Amino acid sequence: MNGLWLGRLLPLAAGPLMGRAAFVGVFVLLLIWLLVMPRRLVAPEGEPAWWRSPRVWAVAVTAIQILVYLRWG
Amino acid sequence: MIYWRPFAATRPVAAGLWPVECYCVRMCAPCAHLLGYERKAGSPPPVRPWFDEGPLRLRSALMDKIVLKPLDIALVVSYLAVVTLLGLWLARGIRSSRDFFLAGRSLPWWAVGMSLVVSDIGAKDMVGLATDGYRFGLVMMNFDLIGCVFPVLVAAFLFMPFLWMAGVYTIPEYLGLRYNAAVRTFFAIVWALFMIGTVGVIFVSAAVIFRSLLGWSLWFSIGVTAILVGIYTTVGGLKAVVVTDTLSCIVLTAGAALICILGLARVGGLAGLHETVSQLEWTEHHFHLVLPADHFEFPWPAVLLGLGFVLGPAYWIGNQAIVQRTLGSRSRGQARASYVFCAVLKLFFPLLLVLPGLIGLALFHEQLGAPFLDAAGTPNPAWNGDAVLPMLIGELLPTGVLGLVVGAFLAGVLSNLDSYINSASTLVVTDLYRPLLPGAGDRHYLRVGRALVVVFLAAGAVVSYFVVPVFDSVYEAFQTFMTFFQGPLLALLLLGMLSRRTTAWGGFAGLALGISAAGAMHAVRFVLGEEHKIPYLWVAWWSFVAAVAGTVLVSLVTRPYDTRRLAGLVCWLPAEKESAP
Repeated sequence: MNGLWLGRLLPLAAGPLMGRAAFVGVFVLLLIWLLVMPRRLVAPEGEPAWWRSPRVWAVAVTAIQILVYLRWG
Repeated sequence: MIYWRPFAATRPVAAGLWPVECYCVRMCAPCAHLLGYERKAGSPPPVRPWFDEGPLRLRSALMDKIVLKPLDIALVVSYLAVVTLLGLWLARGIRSSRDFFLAGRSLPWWAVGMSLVVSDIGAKDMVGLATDGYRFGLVMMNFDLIGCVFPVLVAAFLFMPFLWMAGVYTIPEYLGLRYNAAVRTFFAIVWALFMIGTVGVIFVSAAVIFRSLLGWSLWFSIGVTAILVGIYTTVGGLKAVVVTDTLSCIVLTAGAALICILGLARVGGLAGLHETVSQLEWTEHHFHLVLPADHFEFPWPAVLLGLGFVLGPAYWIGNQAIVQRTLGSRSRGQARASYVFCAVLKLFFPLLLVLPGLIGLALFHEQLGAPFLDAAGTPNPAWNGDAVLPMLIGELLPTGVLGLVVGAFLAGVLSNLDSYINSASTLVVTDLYRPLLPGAGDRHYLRVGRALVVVFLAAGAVVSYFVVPVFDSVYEAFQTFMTFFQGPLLALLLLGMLSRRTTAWGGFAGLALGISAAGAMHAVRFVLGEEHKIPYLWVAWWSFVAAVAGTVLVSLVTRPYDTRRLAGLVCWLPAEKESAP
């Protein structure tokens, strides 16, 4: 029972490769969402310079997360 | 922090394995007298047996190497003095409850971001993550990477600017506006109880660490931390809390970084660390963030779903102690930027907190041994994991640096404590007291808020008295208590913010179903036995799923709210007149 609730439903889930793909996939989806997010959610007050843009920093953090899970997943 | 320690990690060590008469700090006679110790030649200072013999002993043969020199003590005292004076100085200009509870909405993004980070990290987390870094390795970094960075980035763009615009002081206040007063009161009481318990736990965990590092007795430690936090939190409110937190963040980062740098230098760098740890038989997964789905403690589906999708978001979107400082930001844009800055900082903190555990493993595996007896995770009763970080400190840090690290522990304690105290006061005044006594005048609420800071500190001290002998059981009980509510809370928040179709009856049904599901899953261990215990990450996930299902189904068959009533309460329905300045 320990931790296999989903594993029993999805036999493939038992593999660590599947796990790494799932974690990376979550951050890839987040990255896509950050990139396509409408401007009114990102900067309704007006677009700041790129280095002050929360979107740019968020994209950078997400990209680093993807690399971290690819390397050490 | 949402990081939870697996219970087995803190079991009492086998009797006699660690020397009972081992004291970690050598004090001068006046200091010993001041701290209540009566020293006789060749004998250790007396201690209260019920505190000293409890399950939280942080002793090892190496710990008597920790000796605070005058420079260390000067650094610690200077830090405490600066924090207190800074907090008092910031009390100027507090004239209304809004100034006190939300810092007059004047906080800059960088201060809020740093405060978010240290509010999340307590002294117990510092010790505990090093311990579990030793036991499990890099997987512990998931508590920050998937449990924090992911929900924080989503919240930064979707929820925090929206909550800021709603102009609320607390999360239960938002739930009251979105659903009804009953939901608001229910969650306010749950959070208030949890916060009192948390304050007690912070007091005790801090006392245990200061006992090890400084030789302080339990009540001396509680007294010092309560008075320091009480002074600047009572007079300075959220602004004092956030600004002192930024200082704490710097000290905490410097202290943790020093342990990592000096530790890596000792073990031969990252390559030497990897080589030494990999040679051990039981460290197969220590350099992996994702563990197999049948792992006994951290199966990846549970980590991803339970931690990443439920506990993490519930904590970073629904925890008053976290969210409140963001509500005090200068603007909607600054609220968003503070969360993104927190995510940036959180890229480094998991490394700073988990790496010491791996360094400790490389250095002390022969003394401490393996934490498990077999691959199924049967705990080794002779293993004392809580000694990992104190042993590292004793082994690695020279004079001056030791003072900085002790300051880092203090920073963790103070920032953790002031956040919960300030938020508990805000929550009780806003969601329980003000609805009971409306129209009492703003200065009255301000006075009550300040008084409640003292009340919560006193209540936490009382709780700590009862917590000490059964600390691990109580710590686990508080965390278990919250698993009943985290999933349903998140479900109500998300569905309330994202869908105009969600109704009050739907929210009530989701709440009841989610809590029932969590209760049923917790009951499995009592009905079927401990070996069938369901991991808490799964409890969080399935109670969330049950709450979502209940809320959606009942909302669909009940009459929806008028769209005008929901303006400013649902993300896609902006307020006609924005409530925030």
